[in-house]
Amino acid sequence: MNASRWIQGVAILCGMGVAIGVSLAQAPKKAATKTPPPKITTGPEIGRKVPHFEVLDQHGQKQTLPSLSGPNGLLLLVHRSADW
Amino acid sequence: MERKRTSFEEDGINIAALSFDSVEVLQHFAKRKGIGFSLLSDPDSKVIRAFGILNENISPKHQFYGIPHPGQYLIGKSGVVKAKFFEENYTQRFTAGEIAVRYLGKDLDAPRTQIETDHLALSSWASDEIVAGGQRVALVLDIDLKEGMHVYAPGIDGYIPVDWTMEEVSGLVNYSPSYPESEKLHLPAIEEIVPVYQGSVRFMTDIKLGRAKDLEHLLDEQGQLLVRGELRYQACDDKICYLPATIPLEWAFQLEAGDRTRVPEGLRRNPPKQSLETPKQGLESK
Repeated sequence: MNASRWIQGVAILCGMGVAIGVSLAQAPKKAATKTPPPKITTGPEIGRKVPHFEVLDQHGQKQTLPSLSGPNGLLLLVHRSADW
Repeated sequence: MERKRTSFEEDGINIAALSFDSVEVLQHFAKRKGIGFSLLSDPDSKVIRAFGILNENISPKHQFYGIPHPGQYLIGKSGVVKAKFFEENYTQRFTAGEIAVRYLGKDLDAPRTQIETDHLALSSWASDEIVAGGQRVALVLDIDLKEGMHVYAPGIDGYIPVDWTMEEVSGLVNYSPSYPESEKLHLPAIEEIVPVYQGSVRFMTDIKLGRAKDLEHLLDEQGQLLVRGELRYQACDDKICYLPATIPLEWAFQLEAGDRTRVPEGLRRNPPKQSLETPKQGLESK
Protein backbone atom coordinates (compact mmCIF):
# COMPACT_ATOMS: atom_id res chain seq x y z
CA MET A 1 0.00 0.00 0.00
CA ASN A 2 1.61 3.26 -1.04
CA ALA A 3 1.32 6.42 1.03
CA SER A 4 -1.38 8.06 -1.09
CA ARG A 5 -3.65 4.97 -0.95
CA TRP A 6 -3.06 4.75 2.81
CA ILE A 7 -4.12 8.40 3.20
CA GLN A 8 -7.13 7.76 0.95
CA GLY A 9 -8.15 4.79 3.12
CA VAL A 10 -7.88 6.82 6.31
CA ALA A 11 -9.90 9.62 4.72
CA ILE A 12 -12.68 7.19 3.74
CA LEU A 13 -12.76 5.69 7.24
CA CYS A 14 -12.85 9.16 8.80
CA GLY A 15 -15.65 10.14 6.43
CA MET A 16 -17.66 7.06 7.43
CA GLY A 17 -17.09 7.88 11.08
CA VAL A 18 -18.37 11.41 10.61
CA ALA A 19 -21.36 10.10 8.65
CA ILE A 20 -22.23 7.62 11.41
CA GLY A 21 -21.81 10.35 14.03
CA VAL A 22 -24.10 12.68 12.10
CA SER A 23 -26.71 10.00 11.54
CA LEU A 24 -26.71 9.11 15.24
CA ALA A 25 -27.04 12.77 16.18
CA GLN A 26 -29.97 13.12 13.78
CA ALA A 27 -31.70 9.91 14.85
CA PRO A 28 -35.12 10.74 16.26
CA LYS A 29 -35.39 10.53 19.98
CA LYS A 30 -37.07 7.36 21.06
CA ALA A 31 -40.72 8.13 21.77
CA ALA A 32 -41.84 7.67 25.33
CA THR A 33 -43.34 4.21 25.58
CA LYS A 34 -47.08 4.42 26.01
CA THR A 35 -49.39 1.46 25.90
CA PRO A 36 -51.79 1.93 23.00
CA PRO A 37 -55.47 1.60 23.89
CA PRO A 38 -56.74 -1.93 23.32
CA LYS A 39 -58.30 -2.37 19.92
CA ILE A 40 -62.01 -2.81 19.71
CA THR A 41 -64.04 -4.51 17.03
CA THR A 42 -67.51 -3.24 16.20
CA GLY A 43 -68.96 -6.10 14.15
CA PRO A 44 -71.03 -5.89 10.96
CA GLU A 45 -70.57 -2.66 9.06
CA ILE A 46 -73.40 -0.33 8.08
CA GLY A 47 -75.19 -1.78 5.06
CA ARG A 48 -74.25 -5.39 5.94
CA LYS A 49 -76.56 -8.00 7.38
CA VAL A 50 -76.15 -9.13 10.96
CA PRO A 51 -75.72 -12.87 11.53
CA HIS A 52 -78.79 -14.96 12.27
CA PHE A 53 -79.20 -15.62 15.98
CA GLU A 54 -81.50 -17.48 18.29
CA VAL A 55 -81.29 -16.80 22.01
CA LEU A 56 -83.39 -16.97 25.16
CA ASP A 57 -84.73 -13.80 26.76
CA GLN A 58 -85.18 -13.08 30.48
CA HIS A 59 -88.43 -15.08 30.45
CA GLY A 60 -86.72 -18.11 28.93
CA GLN A 61 -88.47 -17.54 25.59
CA LYS A 62 -86.71 -18.12 22.30
CA GLN A 63 -86.04 -14.90 20.37
CA THR A 64 -84.68 -14.18 16.92
CA LEU A 65 -84.14 -10.96 15.00
CA PRO A 66 -87.58 -11.22 13.30
CA SER A 67 -89.33 -11.94 16.61
CA LEU A 68 -87.62 -8.99 18.31
CA SER A 69 -87.92 -6.39 15.55
CA GLY A 70 -90.62 -3.75 15.38
CA PRO A 71 -92.14 -2.68 12.03
CA ASN A 72 -89.06 -0.51 11.42
CA GLY A 73 -86.42 -2.64 13.02
CA LEU A 74 -84.53 -3.08 16.24
CA LEU A 75 -82.12 -1.11 18.38
CA LEU A 76 -79.84 -3.86 19.68
CA LEU A 77 -77.78 -2.88 22.69
CA VAL A 78 -74.74 -4.96 23.44
CA HIS A 79 -73.70 -4.85 27.08
CA ARG A 80 -70.81 -6.33 28.93
CA SER A 81 -72.95 -7.75 31.72
CA ALA A 82 -75.99 -7.04 33.86
CA ASP A 83 -74.02 -8.35 36.82
CA TRP A 84 -70.87 -6.30 36.83
CA MET B 1 -82.73 3.03 28.12
CA GLU B 2 -86.08 2.06 29.54
CA ARG B 3 -86.89 5.77 29.95
CA LYS B 4 -86.48 6.34 26.20
CA ARG B 5 -88.13 3.14 25.01
CA THR B 6 -91.36 4.78 23.87
CA SER B 7 -89.40 7.26 21.72
CA PHE B 8 -88.20 4.34 19.63
CA GLU B 9 -91.44 2.36 19.71
CA GLU B 10 -93.32 5.38 18.37
CA ASP B 11 -91.11 5.03 15.30
CA GLY B 12 -91.72 1.30 15.04
CA ILE B 13 -88.33 0.38 16.48
CA ASN B 14 -88.13 -2.15 19.30
CA ILE B 15 -85.27 -2.36 21.78
CA ALA B 16 -83.41 -5.45 22.98
CA ALA B 17 -80.15 -5.90 24.89
CA LEU B 18 -77.66 -8.73 24.53
CA SER B 19 -75.07 -9.83 27.09
CA PHE B 20 -73.26 -13.00 28.18
CA ASP B 21 -75.43 -13.30 31.30
CA SER B 22 -77.62 -16.28 32.12
CA VAL B 23 -81.41 -16.12 31.81
CA GLU B 24 -81.62 -16.07 35.62
CA VAL B 25 -79.29 -13.08 35.93
CA LEU B 26 -81.27 -11.19 33.27
CA GLN B 27 -84.56 -12.07 34.95
CA HIS B 28 -83.27 -10.70 38.25
CA PHE B 29 -81.87 -7.57 36.61
CA ALA B 30 -85.07 -6.87 34.62
CA LYS B 31 -87.17 -7.18 37.76
CA ARG B 32 -84.90 -4.98 39.85
CA LYS B 33 -84.67 -2.25 37.21
CA GLY B 34 -88.24 -2.52 35.89
CA ILE B 35 -87.10 -3.28 32.36
CA GLY B 36 -89.83 -4.00 29.85
CA PHE B 37 -87.78 -4.79 26.76
CA SER B 38 -86.10 -8.08 25.88
CA LEU B 39 -82.82 -8.95 27.58
CA LEU B 40 -81.07 -11.62 25.56
CA SER B 41 -78.89 -14.29 27.10
CA ASP B 42 -75.75 -15.39 25.26
CA PRO B 43 -73.94 -17.32 28.03
CA ASP B 44 -71.44 -19.01 25.69
CA SER B 45 -70.89 -15.77 23.74
CA LYS B 46 -71.91 -17.53 20.50
CA VAL B 47 -73.83 -14.54 19.17
CA ILE B 48 -71.15 -12.16 20.43
CA ARG B 49 -68.57 -14.17 18.46
CA ALA B 50 -70.81 -14.39 15.38
CA PHE B 51 -71.08 -10.59 15.41
CA GLY B 52 -67.30 -10.35 15.75
CA ILE B 53 -67.40 -8.25 18.90
CA LEU B 54 -65.89 -10.57 21.49
CA ASN B 55 -63.49 -8.64 23.69
CA GLU B 56 -60.26 -10.44 22.86
CA ASN B 57 -58.30 -8.18 25.18
CA ILE B 58 -59.49 -10.31 28.06
CA SER B 59 -57.66 -13.52 28.83
CA PRO B 60 -59.64 -16.77 28.48
CA LYS B 61 -58.71 -17.42 32.12
CA HIS B 62 -60.34 -14.21 33.23
CA GLN B 63 -63.75 -14.38 34.88
CA PHE B 64 -65.11 -11.82 32.40
CA TYR B 65 -63.85 -13.61 29.32
CA GLY B 66 -66.74 -13.73 26.88
CA ILE B 67 -67.93 -10.16 27.25
CA PRO B 68 -68.42 -8.12 24.08
CA HIS B 69 -67.22 -4.65 23.17
CA PRO B 70 -70.27 -2.63 24.22
CA GLY B 71 -72.21 -0.66 21.63
CA GLN B 72 -75.51 -0.34 19.83
CA TYR B 73 -76.81 -1.36 16.42
CA LEU B 74 -79.82 0.01 14.64
CA ILE B 75 -80.93 -2.92 12.52
CA GLY B 76 -83.54 -2.67 9.77
CA LYS B 77 -86.35 -5.16 9.42
CA SER B 78 -84.36 -7.06 6.78
CA GLY B 79 -81.43 -7.52 9.17
CA VAL B 80 -79.22 -4.87 7.60
CA VAL B 81 -77.26 -2.55 9.92
CA LYS B 82 -78.57 0.99 9.39
CA ALA B 83 -76.33 2.62 11.99
CA LYS B 84 -74.06 1.59 14.81
CA PHE B 85 -72.78 3.40 17.84
CA PHE B 86 -69.56 2.31 19.48
CA GLU B 87 -67.08 4.27 21.54
CA GLU B 88 -63.38 3.47 21.71
CA ASN B 89 -63.37 3.38 25.48
CA TYR B 90 -65.40 0.55 26.98
CA THR B 91 -66.70 2.79 29.78
CA GLN B 92 -68.27 5.21 27.31
CA ARG B 93 -71.51 4.88 25.41
CA PHE B 94 -74.14 6.76 23.52
CA THR B 95 -77.38 7.20 25.41
CA ALA B 96 -80.58 6.01 23.77
CA GLY B 97 -81.73 9.63 23.91
CA GLU B 98 -78.69 10.72 21.92
CA ILE B 99 -79.48 8.16 19.24
CA ALA B 100 -83.16 9.16 19.22
CA VAL B 101 -82.34 12.85 18.83
CA ARG B 102 -79.35 12.70 16.53
CA TYR B 103 -80.21 9.73 14.37
CA LEU B 104 -84.01 9.65 14.40
CA GLY B 105 -84.44 13.43 14.72
CA LYS B 106 -86.88 12.98 17.59
CA ASP B 107 -88.35 15.78 19.63
CA LEU B 108 -88.06 14.36 23.11
CA ASP B 109 -90.31 15.40 25.94
CA ALA B 110 -87.44 17.06 27.78
CA PRO B 111 -87.44 20.21 29.93
CA ARG B 112 -86.62 23.25 27.81
CA THR B 113 -85.00 26.54 28.69
CA GLN B 114 -86.56 29.42 26.72
CA ILE B 115 -84.63 32.56 25.90
CA GLU B 116 -85.89 35.46 23.81
CA THR B 117 -83.89 38.32 22.31
CA ASP B 118 -84.91 41.14 19.94
CA HIS B 119 -84.05 38.90 17.03
CA LEU B 120 -84.93 35.33 17.94
CA ALA B 121 -86.48 32.90 20.39
CA LEU B 122 -84.30 30.04 21.50
CA SER B 123 -85.20 26.79 23.22
CA SER B 124 -82.36 24.68 24.61
CA TRP B 125 -82.75 21.09 25.74
CA ALA B 126 -80.84 17.82 25.99
CA SER B 127 -81.43 14.21 24.99
CA ASP B 128 -81.26 13.09 28.61
CA GLU B 129 -82.18 14.62 31.95
CA ILE B 130 -80.55 11.90 34.04
CA VAL B 131 -77.02 11.04 33.03
CA ALA B 132 -74.14 8.89 34.26
CA GLY B 133 -70.38 9.03 33.88
CA GLY B 134 -69.14 7.93 30.45
CA GLN B 135 -72.32 8.80 28.59
CA ARG B 136 -72.46 10.68 25.33
CA VAL B 137 -75.42 13.05 25.35
CA ALA B 138 -76.93 15.33 22.69
CA LEU B 139 -77.57 19.05 23.28
CA VAL B 140 -80.10 20.83 21.11
CA LEU B 141 -80.85 24.47 20.28
CA ASP B 142 -84.18 25.10 18.56
CA ILE B 143 -84.14 28.63 17.18
CA ASP B 144 -87.04 30.65 15.76
CA LEU B 145 -85.85 33.80 14.05
CA LYS B 146 -88.28 36.67 14.20
CA GLU B 147 -90.14 37.86 11.11
CA GLY B 148 -87.73 39.32 8.56
CA MET B 149 -84.60 38.40 10.54
CA HIS B 150 -81.73 36.27 9.37
CA VAL B 151 -78.42 35.21 10.85
CA TYR B 152 -75.35 34.18 8.89
CA ALA B 153 -74.42 30.52 8.53
CA PRO B 154 -70.94 29.17 9.34
CA GLY B 155 -68.41 29.43 6.54
CA ILE B 156 -69.34 32.94 5.44
CA ASP B 157 -66.61 35.54 4.87
CA GLY B 158 -66.94 39.16 5.90
CA TYR B 159 -69.92 38.64 8.23
CA ILE B 160 -70.27 37.19 11.70
CA PRO B 161 -71.73 33.68 11.46
CA VAL B 162 -73.58 31.83 14.22
CA ASP B 163 -71.03 30.25 16.52
CA TRP B 164 -72.01 27.81 19.27
CA THR B 165 -69.22 27.04 21.71
CA MET B 166 -69.21 24.99 24.87
CA GLU B 167 -67.04 25.72 27.89
CA GLU B 168 -63.82 23.72 27.87
CA VAL B 169 -63.73 22.07 31.27
CA SER B 170 -62.03 18.98 32.57
CA GLY B 171 -64.32 15.97 32.77
CA LEU B 172 -66.20 16.87 29.57
CA VAL B 173 -65.44 16.30 25.92
CA ASN B 174 -67.09 18.74 23.52
CA TYR B 175 -67.86 17.89 19.92
CA SER B 176 -68.27 20.28 17.01
CA PRO B 177 -71.87 21.43 16.61
CA SER B 178 -73.78 20.34 13.54
CA TYR B 179 -75.56 23.13 11.73
CA PRO B 180 -78.25 22.50 9.11
CA GLU B 181 -77.88 23.42 5.48
CA SER B 182 -78.23 27.17 5.01
CA GLU B 183 -80.43 29.15 2.62
CA LYS B 184 -78.98 31.47 0.01
CA LEU B 185 -80.25 35.00 0.51
CA HIS B 186 -79.94 37.67 -2.16
CA LEU B 187 -79.09 41.10 -0.76
CA PRO B 188 -80.07 43.51 -3.60
CA ALA B 189 -78.64 46.59 -1.86
CA ILE B 190 -75.10 45.20 -2.09
CA GLU B 191 -75.71 42.66 -4.86
CA GLU B 192 -74.53 39.73 -2.78
CA ILE B 193 -75.82 36.21 -2.20
CA VAL B 194 -75.09 35.05 1.33
CA PRO B 195 -75.70 31.82 3.30
CA VAL B 196 -78.19 32.47 6.10
CA TYR B 197 -80.71 30.92 8.43
CA GLN B 198 -84.25 32.25 8.58
CA GLY B 199 -87.41 30.93 10.23
CA SER B 200 -86.89 27.82 12.38
CA VAL B 201 -83.59 25.98 12.62
CA ARG B 202 -82.12 23.30 14.87
CA PHE B 203 -78.49 23.14 15.93
CA MET B 204 -77.15 20.06 17.72
CA THR B 205 -73.98 18.96 19.40
CA ASP B 206 -72.74 16.18 21.64
CA ILE B 207 -70.89 16.16 24.89
CA LYS B 208 -69.23 13.16 26.45
CA LEU B 209 -69.06 12.91 30.21
CA GLY B 210 -65.98 11.70 32.01
CA ARG B 211 -66.09 9.44 35.01
CA ALA B 212 -68.38 10.48 37.84
CA LYS B 213 -65.48 11.51 40.08
CA ASP B 214 -64.15 13.78 37.30
CA LEU B 215 -67.49 15.58 37.14
CA GLU B 216 -67.73 16.53 40.80
CA HIS B 217 -66.36 20.03 40.20
CA LEU B 218 -69.26 20.69 37.81
CA LEU B 219 -71.97 19.96 40.37
CA ASP B 220 -73.94 22.85 41.87
CA GLU B 221 -75.21 23.07 45.45
CA GLN B 222 -78.21 20.93 44.61
CA GLY B 223 -75.94 18.27 43.12
CA GLN B 224 -76.94 19.07 39.55
CA LEU B 225 -74.35 18.72 36.82
CA LEU B 226 -74.08 22.07 35.06
CA VAL B 227 -72.79 22.37 31.53
CA ARG B 228 -72.33 25.80 29.97
CA GLY B 229 -71.76 27.33 26.60
CA GLU B 230 -72.76 30.31 24.49
CA LEU B 231 -74.22 31.16 21.12
CA ARG B 232 -72.84 34.15 19.26
CA TYR B 233 -74.64 35.58 16.27
CA GLN B 234 -75.32 38.72 14.31
CA ALA B 235 -78.88 39.22 13.14
CA CYS B 236 -79.90 41.37 10.19
CA ASP B 237 -83.12 42.27 8.48
CA ASP B 238 -83.54 43.64 4.97
CA LYS B 239 -82.43 47.10 6.11
CA ILE B 240 -79.81 46.87 8.82
CA CYS B 241 -77.54 44.53 10.70
CA TYR B 242 -77.84 44.68 14.47
CA LEU B 243 -74.96 44.56 16.92
CA PRO B 244 -73.50 41.08 17.43
CA ALA B 245 -75.06 39.31 20.42
CA THR B 246 -74.03 36.44 22.69
CA ILE B 247 -76.55 34.25 24.49
CA PRO B 248 -75.25 32.35 27.55
CA LEU B 249 -76.44 28.74 27.59
CA GLU B 250 -76.72 26.28 30.44
CA TRP B 251 -77.89 22.70 30.79
CA ALA B 252 -78.56 21.04 34.15
CA PHE B 253 -78.45 17.26 34.52
CA GLN B 254 -79.14 14.89 37.34
CA LEU B 255 -76.01 12.80 37.74
CA GLU B 256 -76.79 9.19 38.49
CA ALA B 257 -74.32 6.99 40.35
CA GLY B 258 -73.12 3.89 38.51
CA ASP B 259 -75.14 0.76 39.30
CA ARG B 260 -72.90 -1.60 41.26
CA THR B 261 -75.66 -3.84 42.60
CA ARG B 262 -74.94 -7.45 41.82
CA VAL B 263 -77.25 -10.42 41.59
CA PRO B 264 -77.38 -12.81 44.58
CA GLU B 265 -74.30 -15.00 44.81
CA GLY B 266 -76.11 -18.15 43.73
CA LEU B 267 -76.95 -16.58 40.37
CA ARG B 268 -73.49 -15.25 39.62
CA ARG B 269 -71.47 -16.54 36.74
CA ASN B 270 -68.94 -19.20 37.67
CA PRO B 271 -65.41 -18.09 36.88
CA PRO B 272 -63.52 -20.30 34.42
CA LYS B 273 -61.63 -23.16 36.06
CA GLN B 274 -58.10 -22.22 37.19
CA SER B 275 -59.08 -18.57 36.97
CA LEU B 276 -57.07 -16.56 39.39
CA GLU B 277 -57.28 -13.28 37.55
CA THR B 278 -59.29 -10.41 38.82
CA PRO B 279 -60.59 -7.50 36.77
CA LYS B 280 -57.86 -5.01 35.92
CA GLN B 281 -60.15 -2.41 34.47
CA GLY B 282 -62.44 -0.17 36.48
CA LEU B 283 -66.03 -1.23 36.89
CA GLU B 284 -67.70 1.96 35.78
CA SER B 285 -71.02 0.95 34.35
CA LYS B 286 -72.78 -2.05 32.94
